[in-house]
Amino acid sequence: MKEIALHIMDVAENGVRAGAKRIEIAIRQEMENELLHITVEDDGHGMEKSELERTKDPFYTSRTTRNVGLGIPLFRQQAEMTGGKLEINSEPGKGTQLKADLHPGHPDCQPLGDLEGCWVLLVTSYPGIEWILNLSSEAGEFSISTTEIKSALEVKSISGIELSEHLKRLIRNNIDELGLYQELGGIHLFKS
Amino acid sequence: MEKIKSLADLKKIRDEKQSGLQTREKGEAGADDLVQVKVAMATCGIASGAKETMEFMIGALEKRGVDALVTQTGCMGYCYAEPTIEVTLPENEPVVFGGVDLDKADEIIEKYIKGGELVDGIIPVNYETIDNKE
Repeated sequence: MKEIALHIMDVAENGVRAGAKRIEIAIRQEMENELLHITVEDDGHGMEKSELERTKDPFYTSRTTRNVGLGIPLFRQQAEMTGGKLEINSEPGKGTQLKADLHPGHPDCQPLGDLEGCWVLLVTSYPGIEWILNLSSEAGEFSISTTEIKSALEVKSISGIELSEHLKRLIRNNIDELGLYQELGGIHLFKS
Repeated sequence: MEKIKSLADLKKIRDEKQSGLQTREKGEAGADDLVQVKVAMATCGIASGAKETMEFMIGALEKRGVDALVTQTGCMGYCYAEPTIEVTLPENEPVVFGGVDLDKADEIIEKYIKGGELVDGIIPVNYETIDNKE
């Protein structure tokens, strides 16, 4: 995986498989602590404590087509490589919450990547789910959800390349305005 | 082009060119007439570039006027051949293709989806042998 956005998309799909009706992705940047705090939360069927423990194992998966489950371990590895961590909380019947802390200033930190592309792809692939995206930094906050999009544009479903392109641009412009970390090693954060 | 920064901006653009934005509901025509494309989007798929493949398929099919429904699916088990896609032409059996980078995706659209001509790189899933045929 070359970008953080791809890890996020990957674990968000776990929520889809857990039968979630609502998946929220939140990214909060704290320049003071050089922290990128990412949360992926779903209201799917959740996991028992024993299964939760096993998500750390790259050879554990709930799928039947293969014997490895790399999504979470790879994301955790990425977080830990930057001196951060990844935690998951889950409760059967209530849902799962994955929280990752990364340090963008670390030279091993991957770029955030095409977050807007990943989000729009999730939104258009799984229209039965309410998707929420929350971005925040010292410069402010931005949030968008599929419910808001549908009601603002008065459409029943979000589809079509033109709409996708506009949505991506909307999100990208806000990511830029918030000054969310983009490059390897957070070099740009220290430009003064 | 003005900067789109909020949903209000988006609505304005949409209202300005109402005919441009496609808001037709997919599936209205009846799923049987649509070409169905499923892109495997598990960790192995994503790491191999399935996202680019999927975005390309959605865009190219729409631009070339093919009535298709492109969706994600989980791991189909062909991790060694990612990115993989499953294409179901109307009234046909699904066919799984492996190693679908952007060039291969383009070839699949032009040759298989539009022309019905089989393309290299098929992963046999549901071939019937003489024993199985009734």
